[in-house]
Formats: sequence, C-alpha cells, structure tokens
Amino acid sequence: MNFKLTKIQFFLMLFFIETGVIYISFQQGVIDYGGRDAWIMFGVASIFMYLLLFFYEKNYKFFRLGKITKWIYILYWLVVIISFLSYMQYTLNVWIIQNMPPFYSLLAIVLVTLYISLSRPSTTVNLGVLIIPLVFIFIVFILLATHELKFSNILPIGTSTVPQWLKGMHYSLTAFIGIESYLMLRKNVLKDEEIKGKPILIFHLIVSIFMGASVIGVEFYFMLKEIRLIPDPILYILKSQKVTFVKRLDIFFIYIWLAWSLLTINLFLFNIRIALSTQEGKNPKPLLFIIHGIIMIAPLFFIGVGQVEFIRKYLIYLFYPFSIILPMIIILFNRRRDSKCDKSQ
Amino acid sequence: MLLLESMIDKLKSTFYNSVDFTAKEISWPNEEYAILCYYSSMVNKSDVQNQINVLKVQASVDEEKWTETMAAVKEPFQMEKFVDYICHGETIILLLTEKQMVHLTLPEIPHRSPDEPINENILRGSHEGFVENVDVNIGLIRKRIRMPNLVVNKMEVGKETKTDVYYMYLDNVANQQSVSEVESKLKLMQEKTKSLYTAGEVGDYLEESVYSPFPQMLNTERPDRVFANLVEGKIAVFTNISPTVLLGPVTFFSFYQSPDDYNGRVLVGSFYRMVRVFSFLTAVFLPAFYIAIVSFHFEILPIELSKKLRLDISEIPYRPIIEAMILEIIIELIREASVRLPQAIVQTIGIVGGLVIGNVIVTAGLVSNMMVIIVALTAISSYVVPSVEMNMSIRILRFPFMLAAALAGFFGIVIGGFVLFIHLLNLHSLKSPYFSPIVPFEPKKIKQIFVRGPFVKPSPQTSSFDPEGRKK
Repeated sequence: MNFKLTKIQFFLMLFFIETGVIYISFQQGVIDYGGRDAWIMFGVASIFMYLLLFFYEKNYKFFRLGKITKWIYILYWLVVIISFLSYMQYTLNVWIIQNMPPFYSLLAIVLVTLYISLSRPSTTVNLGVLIIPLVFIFIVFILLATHELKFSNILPIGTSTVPQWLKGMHYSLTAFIGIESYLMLRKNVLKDEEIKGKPILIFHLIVSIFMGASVIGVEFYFMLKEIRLIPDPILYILKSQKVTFVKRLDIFFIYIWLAWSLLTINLFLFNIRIALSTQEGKNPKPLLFIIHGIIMIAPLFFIGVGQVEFIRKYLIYLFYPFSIILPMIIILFNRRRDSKCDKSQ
Repeated sequence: MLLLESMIDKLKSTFYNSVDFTAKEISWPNEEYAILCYYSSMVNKSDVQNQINVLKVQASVDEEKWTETMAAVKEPFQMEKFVDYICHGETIILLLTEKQMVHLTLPEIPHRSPDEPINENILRGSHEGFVENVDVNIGLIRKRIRMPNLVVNKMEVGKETKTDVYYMYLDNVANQQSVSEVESKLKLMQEKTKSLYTAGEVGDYLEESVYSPFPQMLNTERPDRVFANLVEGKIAVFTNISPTVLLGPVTFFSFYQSPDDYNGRVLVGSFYRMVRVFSFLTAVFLPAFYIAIVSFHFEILPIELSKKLRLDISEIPYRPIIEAMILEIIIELIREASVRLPQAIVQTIGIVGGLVIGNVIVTAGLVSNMMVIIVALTAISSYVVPSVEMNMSIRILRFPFMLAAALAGFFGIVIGGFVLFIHLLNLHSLKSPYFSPIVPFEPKKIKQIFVRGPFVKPSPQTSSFDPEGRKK
C-alpha cells in the first residue's frame, strides 16, 4: 500500500486515533479511581506519554513487524475495534436508538467502515478533515456549561493516596490507546517534513490539553461522589445544556460523537490494512472482508452492561504490552540485528 | 464523354443519389474533363463561385502553383478522402485526366447567433453564448485569450458520424497529466464509438465514475466561464454538434461558482457564493431531517413547536415519508413539464402546479403545511446551483436520504452522510481530486470555496492526492 503523509495529515490521524470513542467516558475512570487530584495524575501520565513518543520518534525505523508480530498486532487492534464497537453500540442503544435491533445498526456501521477500507488510502488519511468542524462544534457547546462549573471542586489539592495515584495514572492512559499507530504511520511521512522536537511537542500538548481539559472540566462540574454514577460525563454535561431552538442538544452530539468514533475505528482498521499490505504478492481484500465479518459479529456478544463495564475496566491493561513492551522488544531486537549485520559487512 | 457521364453517375450513387448532392461537368483551363461536386445544403455557393473564378484565372495563365489560395488544396484523387471532404461540407473539383482533385474549404453550416444561453443566465457581464459551430465557439475564446499557448487539438470521433471533437487548453498552465488523460480517453472513444449524438456522450467517456450522481465534468455554454476555467489550468472539450463545452478537471465546488461572482462587488459575490454552498446542505438534507424529526425524534423540538407540529401531522393519514414522496414527485413533474413545454405555457404550469395543487393538496389532507414548506424550500435550494447537472444530481440525492431518515432517523442520515462524503473523497475528475481543497486539505485555498476574493492571479487546481505530487 503506497501512500505518503504530510506532517499535518500524520498528526491529524494520531489525534483522531487517540480521541474519538473514549472521549465521552474516560474521565469517569480517571476521576473515580484517582480522586480529587485526577487532573494532576492525567498531566503526569501525559508527560510519560511524551517520553514514549520521543522514544518512538528516535526508533521508528527499527519498528519492523515480522510474520508473528504482525498477526499479534492485528489481533490486538481487532480486540480494540471490537471493544470500541461494543461500547458505541451500547451507548447508541442507551441514548438514542433504543428500538433498533443492534444487528442492524452495527451492520450499517460496519458497511461504512468496509466502504472506507476498500477505498484508496487517501480517503482514510483525509477523512479527519471533515470531522474537524464537528469537533469544534462539540467543544463550543461543552463550553456553554462554563457558568455551571464549580472551581472549588478540585480543592484541596494533594488529598489522593498513593494507590489512588497509581490507579488514576493507569486509567489516564486510556486517553492514549492507539498511540502505537505512530510507529505504523511514521514511515510514510514525507522525508523532508520536520517531526522531531517542536512539532511532536505541539501535537502532544494539543492532545493532552484537549483530553486534560475534559478531565478537569468534569471535575469542576460534578461532585466527586456523583461521578461514580455517571458513566459518560461529557454527554451528561451536554444533556444539561439548554438552548431555545432545540430541547435535547445531547442527541446531536451523540451523532457527532458517532461520526468521530467511526473515524477512530477506521484509523485502527487502517493500521490493520498497512500490516496486511506487507504480505508480498497477496491480495489483502479477502482478509479485509473476513476482518469486517468478525467486527460485525463479535461486538454483538459484548453489548450488555456487564460486558461494557468489563471492557471499560480492563481494556487499558492491553496498553502496556502493545504500546510499550512489545514495541520496545521489537525495536531493540531489530536494532541489535541491524548492528550485527553492519559489523559482519 | 462517356467516361465523364459514367463518373458522374458513379459519384451520385456513392452518395445514394441524394438530391442535395451535386456533381456536374464544368469547363476547366488545360483540362478535358472536370467535375464539380458538393452538397448544396452545406456550401456557400457565391463564395465557391468566386473561388472557382480565381482558380480558373490562375490555372489559365499556367501558373505553377495555381491552387495556392487560402481555401484550396490540390491532391491526388482518392475516393475515401473525396467522400470525407464532401461530407464535411467542402467543394471538390475533380480533374479526371490528371487524376487530381482540388478541394475548397468553404462550408456554410447553419448555426445560431451567439446569444446568451437560456439555462445559464447572469445579471452582469458578457451575454454571449456558444453555438453549434465550433469555429465560432473557438473564436469566442480566442477573443478573450490572445495568447499563442492556447492550444486547440482535434479528433474525429464516431466511425459513422465522424464528429469533430476539439480539446483546448493553455500550455504551461494545464496539468500535462490531465491533457494526456483527455487524449487517451478520446482515443478510446474514437476506437469504440460508431455514432456521436451529443456532448453528453463525450462526458461519459471522460468521466471516471459514470454511475456516480456527481458530474465530474462541468458543462457550460458560456465563453466567459470557459475562459475563467482555462486560465485556471482546466481543459475545455468542444464538439461541432453542440454548444455545450465540457470542462475538466473540476472540483465539487466549481459547480457552485458563477461568472456573476466576479461581475459583482467582492462582498456581494462572496455572500452569494456562501448562500450557494449552504444550499447544498438544505437541498440534500432538509427533507430527510424533517422526516427524521417527525418520525423518530420529536423530543428535540421545543414544546411549543412540537405541539403545533403534532397537531398538524395528526390529521394526515400517511407516514411522513409518503407525504414527502407525494410532494417531491409533484415538484419533479412540474419541473419536467415546464422544461418540455413552450415558454408561454410554462407560467400556467407554475401557477397550476405550485399554487392550485399546493393549496388543494393541503386542504384535502394529503400532506401537512409544514411538509409543503420543507419541500418548497428544498426545491428552491436545489435550483440555486449555477449548473444544471449538479442541480439534477442534488435533487436525486435527497431521495435516498429521505429513505434513510424514514428507516432509522438521524442515525440513517449520519450513516448516509458518511457514505456520501466518502464517495466524494473517492471521486476524481481527470485524475485530480474532486473534493479539493477540503481533501486533500489545503487551508489557504479553503477560503475560496466561500469567499470570492479581489481578483488576483488565478491558481491552478490541485492535481494529486499524493502530497509529493502536490509539491511538484
């Protein structure tokens, strides 16, 4: 699969991979487990993530997937996609399409993702541009809640315990699921584009501020005890906003979130497409059809409350092996092998 | 003499003894047998006579290059070429002893005067329009672009009709890949087509996705529009049978620009350009949006409006989708009838269709007042587009969206919207991105979609999805 990315396209893709599905809900886990200092924990976690990006940037050339590692990653992304689709389906059923059988709504979503997957790479690469205005509208309407914020909710600072800090930081990483896509996409960035240093810092600051602001905003809006009862705090904030022309503003925002999430799902599928295209001489299309069949059927088994809660609680544990440990192993292995080759030559 | 008569008979039978085909003996200096051939319906007889007189004088003084005039060429006689020249409206003098023929390029093919096209009206600016004569059409462009790099090339398409197709572009400005694309597609058409009836057939060959609802070539009959597009690096394709010119590569937003944008003030032009782009959203999504609300999402409306609307639609026996379909089909019937009927009756159709039927259908309780408002607004929005093809495409597009809204409410519209935009992202016109400058994203050019800036140097259209290609 041949495609080239500009710096802006590359960062835009990463932005939509990291945001999207989780944006309406990840705050609950961070605040619930982290306590009053959750926003600081998120800040610290994001510093760690910057270091991880720094490591990725330095070593992305050595991140080459072999036959086994490729399938391990495809499986991981499939698990993430299925989890996200289950959560999307659950949210849609709870908020807006109570009467539609999940099979049909999921079928519609998967058919759209299949259409994108069968389109040329530039379609997936550029699709985010169309979502940008919607994200802005989303943010503007969240800002309507500013007058209801209680800034004293985060005080006193420094009350969280060490276990709370560990858990809060652990759940903060939910905001960075998919960060390993950096390694998949980086090789396709135009050679003369500057990524190192300032650009990467600005990108990470944008993501961190965007996600961090939602954490602190939720803390300002809800009392600490309330947050346990509210699984999708951002949607609840939107639901409580009143404007004269529309009664249920939240309905529009769920659809904006749906479009945004569809893009996230497609970017994960794009990672799979890139991985599949490394098989020389093989047409990846049949495999893409199989993969779409899987993501069509599998989420149907995980759309109950219990399963969705399980996903929300445990999906983040996959972050460590697939975003940190495995990339490090692959990079170190390839670095060593390359240096051995150089010496033998 | 016998030879002459048999030759004339043979020539006449070659043209199936058509009454407008003339083949007659004429006297010619230093030549025993000469025959004059032409289609009387396609030549200017006085011009031909003058030219013959000139040639006769030159031939009689035994000048070596006596055929060298602007309109005459002498060449060995070949039956195939002879037939071809006659069919193109040329006059031929056959010199039987020498086995030579002199063809005079003086055709006179009837055409209109270059009046303003009735389907592309503008308020200010040039009121000229193309006609069914390619020389006149090319002249109208050359009048505006007096540059040697305005290249015109020709291909003969249609094995039977032998229609001339011309393509025009500004060398050094037009993308060479697009020029090659036009050439290769016309060559393909040359090989495959027997008869060419309309410019639309050429469009089918030039477009890459024929089944897409979106036109990928811009049709126009306005020379000022062609001129503006040529300087932006586009290619214009003419035929000698139609006043319609096809322009490509184009973007989706090209269809929303009108020569009027540049004839008016900057602010006025920009405002109406924005109105037109906004009209796309209302024309496609408004009826679907309304159907979704009244079928699934009543709760989003403020209570006062919700009450009125419920009261209004509670007396309608049909579901909103059926209501909308009834009205939309009536609108389409009125439109189709007004296109086909003489101008004098069109107004009557408008009054009968719009006012009488519109009023009675509500009184009869078949559709609600709100639905009439929605469908009328949608129809007006679709007619705002300054391109007939795009206007038709948009009108067709709203039906699947109405259906999606009736089946799944807003969810259906979102899914349909995704499919629509992915389709737009996938499209290209002569290998150039169709949804540029949004995709590929070019922030500097995006403002041109909505704003007509003060006129400065025109910028060529983006020609590649690939960032490396764009940098070149």
